[in-house]
Amino acid sequence: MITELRILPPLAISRLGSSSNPLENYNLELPQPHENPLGFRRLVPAETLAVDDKTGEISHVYTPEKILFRDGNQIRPVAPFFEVFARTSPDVLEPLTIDLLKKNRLTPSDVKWTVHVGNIKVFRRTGNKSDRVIAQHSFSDHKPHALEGNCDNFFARKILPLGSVRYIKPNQAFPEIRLRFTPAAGLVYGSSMKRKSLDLGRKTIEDDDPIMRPERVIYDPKKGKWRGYVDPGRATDTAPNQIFAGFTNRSGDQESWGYLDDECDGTVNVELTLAGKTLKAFARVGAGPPAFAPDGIPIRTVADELEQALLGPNVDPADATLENVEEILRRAFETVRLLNTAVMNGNTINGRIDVASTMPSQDSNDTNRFFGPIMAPTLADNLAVLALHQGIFGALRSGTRPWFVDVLRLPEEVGDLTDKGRRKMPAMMRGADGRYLTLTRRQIDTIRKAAAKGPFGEQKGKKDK
Amino acid sequence: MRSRVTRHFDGLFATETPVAVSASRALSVVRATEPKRVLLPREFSWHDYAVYLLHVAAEIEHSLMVQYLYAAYSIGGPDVPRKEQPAVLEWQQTILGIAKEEMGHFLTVQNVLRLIGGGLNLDREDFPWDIPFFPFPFRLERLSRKSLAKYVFAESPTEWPADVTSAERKEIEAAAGSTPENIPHRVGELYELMIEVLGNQEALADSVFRTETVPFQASWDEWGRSYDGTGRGATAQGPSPNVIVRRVSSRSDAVSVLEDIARQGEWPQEDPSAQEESHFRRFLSIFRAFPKSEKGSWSPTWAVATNPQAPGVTSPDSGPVIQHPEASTWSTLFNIRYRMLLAYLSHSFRLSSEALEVGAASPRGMIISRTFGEMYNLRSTAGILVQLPLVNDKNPERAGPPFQMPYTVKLPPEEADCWRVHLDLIDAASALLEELSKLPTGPRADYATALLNSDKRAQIEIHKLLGSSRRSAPQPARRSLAL
Repeated sequence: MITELRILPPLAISRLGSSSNPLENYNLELPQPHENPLGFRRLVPAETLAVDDKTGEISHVYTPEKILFRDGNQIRPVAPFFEVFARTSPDVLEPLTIDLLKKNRLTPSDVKWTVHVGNIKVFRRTGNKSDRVIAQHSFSDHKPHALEGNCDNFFARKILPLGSVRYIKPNQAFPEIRLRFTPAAGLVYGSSMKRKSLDLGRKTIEDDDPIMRPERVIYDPKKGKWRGYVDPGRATDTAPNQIFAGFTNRSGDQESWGYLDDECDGTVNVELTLAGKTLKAFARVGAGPPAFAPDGIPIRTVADELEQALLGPNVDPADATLENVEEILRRAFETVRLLNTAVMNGNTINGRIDVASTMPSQDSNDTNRFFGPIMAPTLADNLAVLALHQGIFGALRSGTRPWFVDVLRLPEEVGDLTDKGRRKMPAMMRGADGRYLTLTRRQIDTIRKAAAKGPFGEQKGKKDK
Repeated sequence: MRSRVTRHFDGLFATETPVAVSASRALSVVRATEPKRVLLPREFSWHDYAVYLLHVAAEIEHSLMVQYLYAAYSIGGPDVPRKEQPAVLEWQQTILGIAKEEMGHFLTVQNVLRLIGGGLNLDREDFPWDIPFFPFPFRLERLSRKSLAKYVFAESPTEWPADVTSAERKEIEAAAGSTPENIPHRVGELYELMIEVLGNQEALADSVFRTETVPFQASWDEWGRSYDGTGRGATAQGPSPNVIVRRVSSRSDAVSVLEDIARQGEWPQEDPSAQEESHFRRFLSIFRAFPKSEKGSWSPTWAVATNPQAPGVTSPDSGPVIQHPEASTWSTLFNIRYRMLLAYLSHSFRLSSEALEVGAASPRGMIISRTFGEMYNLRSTAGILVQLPLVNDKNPERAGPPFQMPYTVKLPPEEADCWRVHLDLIDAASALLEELSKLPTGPRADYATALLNSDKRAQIEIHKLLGSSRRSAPQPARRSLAL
């Protein structure tokens, strides 16, 4: 008897792409210690489910020889599966299959899916509910269902495609109940075929928009105010504000061109009515940009947040191992590898100062701090920074306990704009609050507790805990 | 200390005032305590004498730093009871902090040398090494109550603070070999003399102080690593290290920073707020907590040898040779990495920071990062050596980082040749690392492999800087040649 339902994974992040072939599965493996411990992670192809477009069934399972991220100029989307699990006794959670449905006198068509996603980025800026783009679909069949985002402020009959979903038809070989979410193509939509800028005389002019296509002009600027929107400078503005596509107008404000992207997030819901009782479960789904550096992991990810939310800010001392500290360090140099550290440090570049939107310029803009690089300009050379991080990584490999706990920025220090505060680690990057990035408390605690173990080796007759 | 250096010490320690050959060869120094005439040894000009004194100071700072590092690296081991570990870990942190401050002194003395146009001095004598500033020879030994007593003595002020008991003082003086007849000179005296010479316009004209050398000097922003005496590296027992690395552009800058360095070591009687931060006070607090060697007491350190030497034609004055096959390879590697550190450090004083500050490329950052990288490598290799046997597994004595000086620390005159020195050292290290990376799987083999990879990256970067193509990159070095 099924008593509860679950969808696993409870959270999946899809990645936009316009190819009709989804990205195949792979695992990230660390480089072998005896090969090149400072090298890139390896992408190892993994078992992948192939879906027959016509029937909606899984036709076979295979492991690709290599992973292709593009088909020509089209990026392969990451299209996750959601699988339904059923609790059949207090300690058994098992895949929901045709057989299990049958045992409960149900069929696959009794499973009802509802997918509810939205792109409310414009609403988040303007605060106008009519700017919300929402798509919702309920179905029990096995056809692909386009997630058509509707919005009050769109032109008539215009929608924002937010991808599609399909209830995979179970068969004897693959009897599990699952749904596939395929994200949108990753295109830019807009409000006009024209876009504004200032000419040399600082007069506002309109030129043909070089990236817009007529079929993607969906937002009606007569209904909504997204085209021409300027952050009002209130506490409710996003932090940092003004980071939308547009131009600096005559008043010096960032003015929106009225663009929209086709990212979204929302929920995947499943329902099953059993003996007059409806069982429900849901999972969360998001669609984000493609991974352009798939062989590394950023220093702080959503997974770190979730782990902290689930397990708390403190680690068990037994988990504060050098291996775990090493993984944080590896992610640090994998992140550094992608940064133009000289620019991000606020260095003068070819004689020009303040060349990009960086933490030094943000410190200056937000607080009127005198503009100045974070580190000594000499130290911000990317190869030098990378070598330094890799040197620390190597030291950990030797069994040396971490000695750098007090250069880590604590979460309560993100607004410390003294030279010393700005130089803490991780450096040059910001968190979602617009101030300096920190590791999670849990990551910091891992390093702190590993350091506290000291150079004492294995105690005689005692396990190191 | 080498006689070519010590033979000029008479000017420093003269008990009777020698007669100056001319007025220009004596300086009148007004001191609150005792008026003194500083006399110029006859082989010197005042400028040259200032350079000479700075050279002596650099050697002392270098030696103190290495000695303290050895003591700090010796801390640890499985015999430290669990309840004592936090305190012992803090001792290590405190001594490493003091070593970092000595590194700051060492760098700043080089800055002053750069300012007045003297050659840098990254050299020092091998251990054991005696100088007339200490009653005992410098040596690399594990931290003990006796060695701590010597460090306390070495950093002590003229007047000891009142809270030092007579029993403590007796133990400290006995360890240092100090008797009323044999009271050594203090390093502070050397600094006083340097300050007097550098601060005196009669001795050194203003034109000697070359402001244009500032971009070549070491800066706190580059080398200080945020150790400014607050927060970073602080322990429950002591303050955060305050690494003094200051660029100097004038006479007053030079005098001021030398005064600060002199103050940092000793217990400044006139400045109660700085007393707790002095090296004297920090060593004294560890000395007081350190277990006395009695039956049943525990050892806070690994059983490392005193003045260990890597294999080779060894010095009879020094300590035992590291014979354990793996340890001997690591010890040789340690000496190479030590030389690499000194070579990178020396090179950094040739590269201006000015180019980068106006947005042009400069390898200065790479050189500085590599210097820090070698500090981490010395720490890691030392961590391995203190755990490996000196001779064999049956002998409880452990090896230790030998810190043997290279045959030279001078760089060639041409810039391209300096880079070739770095490549040569990477080549020498790679042969050993290849061997060590083939050890049975474990942290040491993994570390050797990581270091090998890191060195290969450095090699590529240096070849790019030299403008040589990858095709001309050296093949794996042969370690023998048929003659």
